[in-house]
Amino acid sequence: MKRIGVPELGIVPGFGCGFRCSHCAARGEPSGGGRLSAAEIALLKETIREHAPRALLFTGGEPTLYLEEIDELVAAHPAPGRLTVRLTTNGHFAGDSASLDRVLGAFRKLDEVQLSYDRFHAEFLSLEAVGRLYRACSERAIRFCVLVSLTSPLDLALAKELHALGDMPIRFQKVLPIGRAKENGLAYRYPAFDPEVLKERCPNRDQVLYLCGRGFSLCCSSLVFNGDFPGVVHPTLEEHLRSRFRVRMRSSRFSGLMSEVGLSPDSLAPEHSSACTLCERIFSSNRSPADAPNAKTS
Amino acid sequence: MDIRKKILGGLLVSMGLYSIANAVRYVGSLSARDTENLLSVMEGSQTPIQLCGGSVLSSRGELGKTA
Repeated sequence: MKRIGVPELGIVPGFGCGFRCSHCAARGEPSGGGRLSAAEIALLKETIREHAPRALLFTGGEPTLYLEEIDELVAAHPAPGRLTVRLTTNGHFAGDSASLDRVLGAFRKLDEVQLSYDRFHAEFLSLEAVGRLYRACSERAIRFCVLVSLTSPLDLALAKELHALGDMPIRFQKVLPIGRAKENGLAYRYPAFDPEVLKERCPNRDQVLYLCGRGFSLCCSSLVFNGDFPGVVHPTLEEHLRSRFRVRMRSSRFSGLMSEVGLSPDSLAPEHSSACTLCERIFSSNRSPADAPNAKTS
Repeated sequence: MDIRKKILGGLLVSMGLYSIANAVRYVGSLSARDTENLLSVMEGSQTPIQLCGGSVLSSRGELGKTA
C-alpha cells in the first residue's frame, strides 16, 4: 500500500492548562489532566518514524506542561535536520527569566513559537511577559509571532500595544463557538449570513492533528471539540488519511456537503458565515457527510 | 457613508474579516470614534496583519489555536 505524505503533524499532548480563558476551544483541565498514555506515545513515535513529517506542531491545552512527552516524540523523528518544530503556547512560563530559560532550554529542537495572546489571555499574562518571551526567542533565533483571537474587529486594537513591544508578526483568528467559548456565548460576530462561505472548503483540509485521548483528524475545530461526530476521528494516521471523511472534506465545498444532507441556505443564521460553525451544522444533521455512501463531490 | 468608513470597510474585506455586504453593515454600525481607532491600528501596522483559519491549526500549516 502506497504511503501518503504528511507535511505537518499537529499534536495535542494534553488538555491541561493553568489559564482558564473564557474563549478557549478546549474545555481544558488543570495542569496534568488528560495527557497522552504510554500506548499513544508509542503509536505517535511509530507514526513519526514511518511518515517523517517535515514539521511537528505542539499545541493544546498548554503543551509546555508535557515537555517530556514532546522530547520523546521529537527524538523519534528519523531526520531531525529536516524537521521543523513549532509550539503554540500561552506563555505562562514567561513571568521570569529563570522559568523562561528552563522551558525554552528543555526543547531539543524548537524553531517557532506562537504565543496566543488577546484580551482573554491578558487576564493571566502581562504585556511585560509577552515582551520578555519575544526577546528570549529573538536571542535564541526562534521565530516568534502572536496569535490574537477576535470577537469583533475592535479587538484588533491590541495590535498597537503588541507592536510597541517590538516588530513581531501578529496573526488574527476569529473566536469560534467551541468548547468553553460556546459555553460562555463567545464567538466572532457576523452582522448577517454570508453566502460566500458556501463556496469554501474546509480551511484545514490539508492538515492532520492528533488529539490526546481521541485520535487523528483533519478537523481542529467544531467537529472535534463540540461533540463526538461519527467518522471524524480515527485511531491511526493511515485510517484517517484513507477515510471517507478526509476524502470528502478535501474534495467538497460546503455547498456540496449541504446538498448531500438536504440543508437549505435559507435555514442558516449569521454565525454560519464561519466555515467551522457551518460545518458543525452540516454534520449535526441526520445524514453525516462522513458516512454518506454515494455523495457527489463539488 | 463617509470616505473613512469606506476605507475601513475595504480593509476589513481585504483581511478576510468580513464579506463586502457584512463589512458595509458592520462599519455602518460603528461610531466615528471606533472607526478612527480601528483605522489607526490597521493603517499604522508596520507588519502585515494575517488572518488564520480553523481553531487549533491555521489553513497555512502555521501555528494557530484559540486556546
